[in-house]
Amino acid sequence: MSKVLQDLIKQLGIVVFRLADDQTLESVSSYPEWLIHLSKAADSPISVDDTFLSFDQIGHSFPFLSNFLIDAELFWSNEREHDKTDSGVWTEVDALGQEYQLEARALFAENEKILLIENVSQNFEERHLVYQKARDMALLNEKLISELNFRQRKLQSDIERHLSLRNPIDELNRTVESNTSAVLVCLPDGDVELYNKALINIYEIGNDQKIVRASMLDKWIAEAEHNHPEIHRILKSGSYWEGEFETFDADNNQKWIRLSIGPVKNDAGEICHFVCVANDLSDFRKVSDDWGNISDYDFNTHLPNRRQFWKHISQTCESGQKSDEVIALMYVDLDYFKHINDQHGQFAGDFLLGTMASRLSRNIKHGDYIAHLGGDEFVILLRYIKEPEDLVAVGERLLVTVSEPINLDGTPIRVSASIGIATTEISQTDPHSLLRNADLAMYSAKELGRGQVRLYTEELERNPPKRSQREHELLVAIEKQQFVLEFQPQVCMQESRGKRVEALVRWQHPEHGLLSPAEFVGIAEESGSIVPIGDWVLMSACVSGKLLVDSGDSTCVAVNISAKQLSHPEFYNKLTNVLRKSGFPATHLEIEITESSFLSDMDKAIDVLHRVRALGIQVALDDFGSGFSSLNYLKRLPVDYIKIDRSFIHDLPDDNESRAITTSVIHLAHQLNMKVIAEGVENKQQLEFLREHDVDFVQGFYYFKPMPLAKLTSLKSENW
Amino acid sequence: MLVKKVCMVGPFAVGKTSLVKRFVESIFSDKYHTTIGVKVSKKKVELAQESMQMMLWDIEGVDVFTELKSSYLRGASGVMLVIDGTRPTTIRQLNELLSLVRSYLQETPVVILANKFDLTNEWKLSQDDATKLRENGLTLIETSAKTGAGVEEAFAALAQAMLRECDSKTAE
Ligand SMILES: Nc1nc2c(ncn2[C@@H]2O[C@H](COP(=O)(O)OP(=O)(O)OP(=O)(O)O)[C@@H](O)[C@H]2O)c(=O)[nH]1
Ligand SMILES: [Mg+2]
Repeated sequence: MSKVLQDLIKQLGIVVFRLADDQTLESVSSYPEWLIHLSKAADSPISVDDTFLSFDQIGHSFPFLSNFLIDAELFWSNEREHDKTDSGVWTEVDALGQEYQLEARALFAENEKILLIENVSQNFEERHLVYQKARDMALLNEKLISELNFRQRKLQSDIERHLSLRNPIDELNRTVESNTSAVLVCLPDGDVELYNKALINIYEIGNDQKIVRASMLDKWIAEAEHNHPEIHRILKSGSYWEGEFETFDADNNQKWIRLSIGPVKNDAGEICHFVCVANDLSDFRKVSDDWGNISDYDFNTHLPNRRQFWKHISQTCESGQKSDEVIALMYVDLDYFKHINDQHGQFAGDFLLGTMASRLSRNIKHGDYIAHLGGDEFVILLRYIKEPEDLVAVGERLLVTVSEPINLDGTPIRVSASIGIATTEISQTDPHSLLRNADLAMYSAKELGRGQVRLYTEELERNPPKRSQREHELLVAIEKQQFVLEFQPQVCMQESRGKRVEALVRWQHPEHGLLSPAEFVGIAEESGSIVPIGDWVLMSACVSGKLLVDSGDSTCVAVNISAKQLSHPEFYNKLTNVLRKSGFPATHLEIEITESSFLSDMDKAIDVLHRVRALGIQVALDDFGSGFSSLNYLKRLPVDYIKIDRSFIHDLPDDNESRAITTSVIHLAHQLNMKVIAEGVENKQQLEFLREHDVDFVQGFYYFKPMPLAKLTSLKSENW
Repeated sequence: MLVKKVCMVGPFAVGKTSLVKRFVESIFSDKYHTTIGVKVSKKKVELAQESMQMMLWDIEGVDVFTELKSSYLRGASGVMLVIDGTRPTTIRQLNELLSLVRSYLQETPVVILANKFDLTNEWKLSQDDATKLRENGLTLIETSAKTGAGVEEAFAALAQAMLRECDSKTAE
């Protein structure tokens, strides 16, 4: 090599090796001081004359390099997918404790395989300083945020608890007055009940101006809605909301606040107060703006946060002003996240969010963008869409990955998500309406039963699905006990084995009259209110059963038990309690369960049923044939009765398939010592077919419609 | 002598460097000097059966700018996953980091260190969370690089686990 080049290499503080043969390097320049110096400190000195060095020798002097040499070899053998590969910085220390920063690189030059080691200590200082500052800042931010959040949430929940216990509001004055967080408590109709000095300070309101709701809560909602279009929906549904947004004081100065709004409900489930707590984050934002990135990411999921999302979507729209490209926004919201959080704790909740974030990110295509808006809400911006219909498939794929089991508290659980999708031409995009539309579509997916994907349509605007109204009414119905029971006899086909009835719940709706289970059980299952409703049904059925027994009518009463009730850890205790309280003999009680009870944890369900049967209670498997039934698994189940699903009975005796299924179910059940009940029997032909095939009981309009208890007791008992 | 590579992994500023300093040099500094890239230190540990040379890879912390480079983990026989028991954000990152490490190193022993245990008043890792982690079969050790509490135990536990892993491999 020319002298000039040699000197240059030396001055640059680099060492250049070429790969001589397998696992040996030959230096093509003389060694710089630092290399010899450092190798001495590592107890494996390299001397000036060692032109050839084996990988092992290098590894002894610089253990970090033995790892990098594997990358280098891969790179050299890989026929140059990239034009070089580097190790990143590493630090070595000399005998005096002086640190050196080095960086290695593998490359090709004139077809030679080259390893280059550079001493980057000189420029390192500056680079280090940038990282140091950023991390110091991030640490400080973390501390501030966590203290602020903690204080804000605590204050909020203290006030809410105080009010929900019906304590007088003026008792709050002392706590609130001196608090540095701004507080506003108001009635749903708008009257302000309480506010404090901190609120006045944020907004620099003069002493003569009174705060009224219209000028505060409405103002906040209007300001927040810009970045948080879902705020209306959340507050309307009576849920807690929290978020950060831009707000303006009396002199139109811009500020950032974090606001939380918590509705407090009365015994009837109606909102009676709104508790709002706000903190001024303006100073904090100013600092973090200087460090751009830090406040653009969610600390937990490491995804871009809401703020970054707005930046990104605005940039996307700006750059696409002249394009007719279609973009889509997917709004992903986990189902029942709050429930999981409450049940398994915040740590588990955060773990769940982190896992979902990485599952979602791994399953979107290169060039798509994902952000974590907060809570359990994620958005994905999709580009370069060929067919809008494909989007639903993409959404469904995401639902599948989300629903893979995840380990919480050592138990694998599955979560689902609801996804709403809105599309638009990029040039037409107004980011706010795009987000709002996707949110609306997501909400309709929730209303329609969760775990699904919905596309936004204008129809959704005109006719938003009505579930949440129902959910709310159901809560009121539980409080006000708007449920009644009816009883439908089951007629015995052989010589009488005693009387049996099924207890059926009805909802006495104040406006819509008597509603059948089909109209509310689905919603109740999803919202979880099926458990209290089911508890009520069980108790009332047993009390009614006891009345029948006392009047000398020894009737067996069948009660429907949902999968949620059965899997409830307290189910068995509740059951024994109900029997004790009502005095109804266990041998007269039958519980009807459906196949879905075995879906999540079959062994556990079987275990509970064994214990239930040990009490003398009988078990019936309802709607058999409608679900995932397999005749094979039937023999594992501790059940006494099988109820053939009404859809098969309906098509009897003409439909071949229904005939085949019905007869084989009866046959198999009898072999397993189970009795068979046919429900939904409406005519003579059906009855005759069933009788001919030895069904044990029939239930249906052909004999009896469901009836109130009073009517049941007056029934002549000849027919059943 | 056995030579084993051990990676110190975790979010930024949890005390990875401090733990290595405490273990190798028995010193501690309150000043925060963030790590960029990697620094490898050696420490010989005497186990009942034999002695082991630990190559401790102190890897730069994970933050919004810096992700964990998989190439640093290659060939590791053990991982110290460090979090800061006083910072909820780092506690929350634990599972993500754990699954990341697991995706590169399936069978490698991992010991979780909840560091800064001397800061009792600011301690945020709840008993519940700690119990849950342990119930999930993970080794969690509370440490303080400042006082030295738990540090020797933690490295000894990892060394033992690495030895067991090594024996079971040879047995196969
Ligand atoms: N009180 C206390 N402080 C500690 C402890 N361990 C580390 N620290 C302090 O925490 C800060 C960060 O420590 P480092 O060891 O540099 O953390 P690191 O994980 O190496 O950080 P990065 O290299 O940036 O990823 C320093 O100010 C340490 O003094 C501890 O056990 N107790
Ligand atoms: Mg460090």
